[in-house]
Amino acid sequence: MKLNNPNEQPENATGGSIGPQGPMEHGAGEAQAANGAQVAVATVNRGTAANGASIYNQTQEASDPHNIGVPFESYLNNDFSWKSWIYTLDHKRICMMYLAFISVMFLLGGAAASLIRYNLIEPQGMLGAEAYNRAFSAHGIIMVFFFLVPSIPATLGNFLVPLMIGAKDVAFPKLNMLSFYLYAAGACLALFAMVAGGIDTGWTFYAPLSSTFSNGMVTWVIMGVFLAGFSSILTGLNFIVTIHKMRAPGMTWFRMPLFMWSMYATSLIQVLGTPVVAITLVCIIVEKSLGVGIFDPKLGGDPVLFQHMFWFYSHPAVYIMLIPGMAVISEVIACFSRKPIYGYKFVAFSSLAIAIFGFLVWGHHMFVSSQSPYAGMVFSLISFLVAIPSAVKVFNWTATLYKGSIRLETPMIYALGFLGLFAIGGLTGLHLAALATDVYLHDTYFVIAHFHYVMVGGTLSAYMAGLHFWWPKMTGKMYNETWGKVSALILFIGFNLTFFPQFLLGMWGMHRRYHAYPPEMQFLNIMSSAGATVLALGFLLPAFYLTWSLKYGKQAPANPFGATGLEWQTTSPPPLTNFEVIPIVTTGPYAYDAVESERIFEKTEAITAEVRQRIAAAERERDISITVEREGSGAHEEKTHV
Amino acid sequence: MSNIAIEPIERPAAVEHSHAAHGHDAHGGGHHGPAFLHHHFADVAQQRESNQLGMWVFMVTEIMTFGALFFVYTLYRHLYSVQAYENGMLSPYGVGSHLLNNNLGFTNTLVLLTSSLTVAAAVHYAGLKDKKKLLALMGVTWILGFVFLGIKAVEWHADYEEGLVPGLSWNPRTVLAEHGFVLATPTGVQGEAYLPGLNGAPPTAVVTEGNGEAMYNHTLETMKAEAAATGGAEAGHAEEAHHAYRGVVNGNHMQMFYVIYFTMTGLHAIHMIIGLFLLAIYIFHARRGMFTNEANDQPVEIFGLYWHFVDIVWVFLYPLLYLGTVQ
Repeated sequence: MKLNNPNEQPENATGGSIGPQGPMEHGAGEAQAANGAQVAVATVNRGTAANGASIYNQTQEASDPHNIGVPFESYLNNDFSWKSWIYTLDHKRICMMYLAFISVMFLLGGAAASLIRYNLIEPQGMLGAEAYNRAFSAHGIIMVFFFLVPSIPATLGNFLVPLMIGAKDVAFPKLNMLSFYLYAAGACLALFAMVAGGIDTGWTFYAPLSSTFSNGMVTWVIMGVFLAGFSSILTGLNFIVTIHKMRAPGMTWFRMPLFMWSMYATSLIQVLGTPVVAITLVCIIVEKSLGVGIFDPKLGGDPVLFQHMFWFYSHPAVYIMLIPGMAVISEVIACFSRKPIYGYKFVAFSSLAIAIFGFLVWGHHMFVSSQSPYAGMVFSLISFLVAIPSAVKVFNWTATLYKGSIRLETPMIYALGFLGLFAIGGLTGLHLAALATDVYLHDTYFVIAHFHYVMVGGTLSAYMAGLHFWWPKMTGKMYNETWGKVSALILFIGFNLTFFPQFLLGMWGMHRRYHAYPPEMQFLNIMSSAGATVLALGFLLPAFYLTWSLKYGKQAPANPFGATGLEWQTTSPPPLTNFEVIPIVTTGPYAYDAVESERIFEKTEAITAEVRQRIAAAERERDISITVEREGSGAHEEKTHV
Repeated sequence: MSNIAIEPIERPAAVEHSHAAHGHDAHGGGHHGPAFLHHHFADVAQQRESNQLGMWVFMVTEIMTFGALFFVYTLYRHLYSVQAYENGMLSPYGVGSHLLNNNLGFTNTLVLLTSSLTVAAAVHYAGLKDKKKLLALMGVTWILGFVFLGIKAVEWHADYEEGLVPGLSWNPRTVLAEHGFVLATPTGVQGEAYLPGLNGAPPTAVVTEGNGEAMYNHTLETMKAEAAATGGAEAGHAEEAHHAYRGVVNGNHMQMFYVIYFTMTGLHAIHMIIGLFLLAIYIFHARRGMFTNEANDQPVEIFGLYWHFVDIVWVFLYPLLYLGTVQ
């Protein structure tokens, strides 16, 4: 084992950065296996825990700076220069840059949300129509295009996709870097436009409002979204190729963690859907800048065509936001109930089913848009079908919890919150998929509450769960568990306070995107605004204690939660090339039963050993006393009796 | 020991250079195979397969990009043809196609198909490590691509002169009259457009002429009569240039055809420009022997995939845009 540590080689240990690294650089595959070189066999049968434990011990020793003279080189500390971050091709560093950028965007989107809630305290509105329109547009655009779509795939996905399949990096590191910079450029462009003038079209950019009547800032925002879309496509492309071609020896499709299946489904949507909305937005720019009427009915265009093309992406985009959340939940629930996921293949294929059905339901956003009622019926039916794979997932997670040895640690609390909130969000989705109720509920706060239950209660809870679950792996630091649990609870309570009243408001007919509302709805609106304050606290707390943990947190062990999966078998944080040796996989991902039996076995062994030790000690004592007695019986008879 | 055996003893300078651009330390040269093998791949086969799959997935993305525009094309073609038929007008797509220069379009198709042949041959000779032929064929491909863009520019310029570019120079009345068509349009005035045949009885409003175009407020009959008069008069003046009266076309709908035409060919041209840019870089690399020194011919193959894709898009664009007929 020691041979594979790059630090053991003196020529590599000197100098600030990692150069060629010993045997691990020679890659996996036939050559290495034939060589009989060292390979960490990630078996999860009886040997697993033992094997994992041995790696664990070794990495523990390596990552503890007090144990060895040379500090362990991870992807974070191998180079501290700013250039090493700016030009990085390492998927882990790109993940961290994404994480920082996305957090800022989330903060800004949250600020816009608080403006919305501030405005709605009074029935006539606190900000006025103009400012309110700009606030909700900024909130929608930032949160959808610059936070939710890249949130889990670009941060956790970027970090974990290569790690979970035992690869050294994604297939195209340069495209990965390009993806980040496109995202950053797009975000800056959109933010500039929002600061410079702001737009009032909402995040949907419906034509001809956006193309004819809105101000010129629409063009800049759309260009920002266009760039972010390209970034999304590149991420998806990278993941598809990585999952197809970069899996470690023995990592078959059905040995992949469910996280990977979900990321694969997400990537498919990103690759197939994003180009359509990109070209649609280009059409808006063409229409706006040249004064022609692609979607303008006055000039022969068809505004409903815009809606079709927009929702052809933007409904699947909902699943781009949601499926990665489900990815995280599968991992967290399995780990903290110490059981393999119930019905692995069903959960895996339900991700793909959601992705496929997701492309066939866009028309349910357009039930009242002069679309043919027959098309509406078909779209309604297929929308109901989406509930099936979603329910399969929720039921299978629940079945996983059943009789598991549940540990209520921070990620698990978020994950349990996800289960409940996503169930509410999903079931209210059925109300909106039904033609008759949708005509009544269309464009009311019921819709707002529904998709916030899915997006915030679902995706954001999952994002927080994943962030807490893999934080020790990503940063090598442990966060404060108590604060984690407290903020998870605050988030859950604040979320329900904010959004549950909106279901009622929607039922009463409060219209979305209006800056004013009838005075009798004020009580619930104030309740919602008050809840939003609690919700904000639930997001600010983790920002503080997670940042705090970076400097003051305890050193994280390689596998703090006792999880299975390849990413836990490397150090925390991982070395630059992820694994000391390319792992060879022999069994499936959730061998928690094996791990548990191994733990019991080890415990039994330990108890047996201790019993043996005590017996031996007792025997030794007896022997000593016997010898002493014997000796005493000889020369010093009086002394022993004294 | 076998590790030492597969390690290249001396790396060629050209390849060294291409890897210097990688930036981050660990992504420098891989030391476990040929120099062009990136560090995160286990072997050359894995790298080749990944690159190939990546390009195919990218092409799927591109198909969706162009597919959205083809959808717009199809939808409006259907809608407008039905409306034109119901109103006794001409199909705006047909008239639009008629005004495009089919000779140049056909020449461009030939040029592009030939360039596909040369790029395929270039891939072949890259595999054979024939540097001379590879360079020649890549050069010919570049020239053909440039010729395509040149012809396209000539076409666009002619369209601009004839007033067929929506937004920038839209005044198609003259060129339409030359071909015997009459334009019906509300001329962008923010009033109620009267669509003959759709909105019940024709109004008896005052006929106004704006921007040299016939208004919707004409009845179809008046317009036909006018057109027959002017067409007949001009036909005697210049027999070859001016056709006899053929029919009325909805100006907005024909404008839409040109919006789609310029968006699609423009997007295609952007892809061509990117292709030429890449090809220029690859010619530079090929001159330094990057593709022929070692068995690293795959970049040429991947580029070939891209070039063929751009070609195939044109193969769909050409008939859809140029070969429409006026019924």
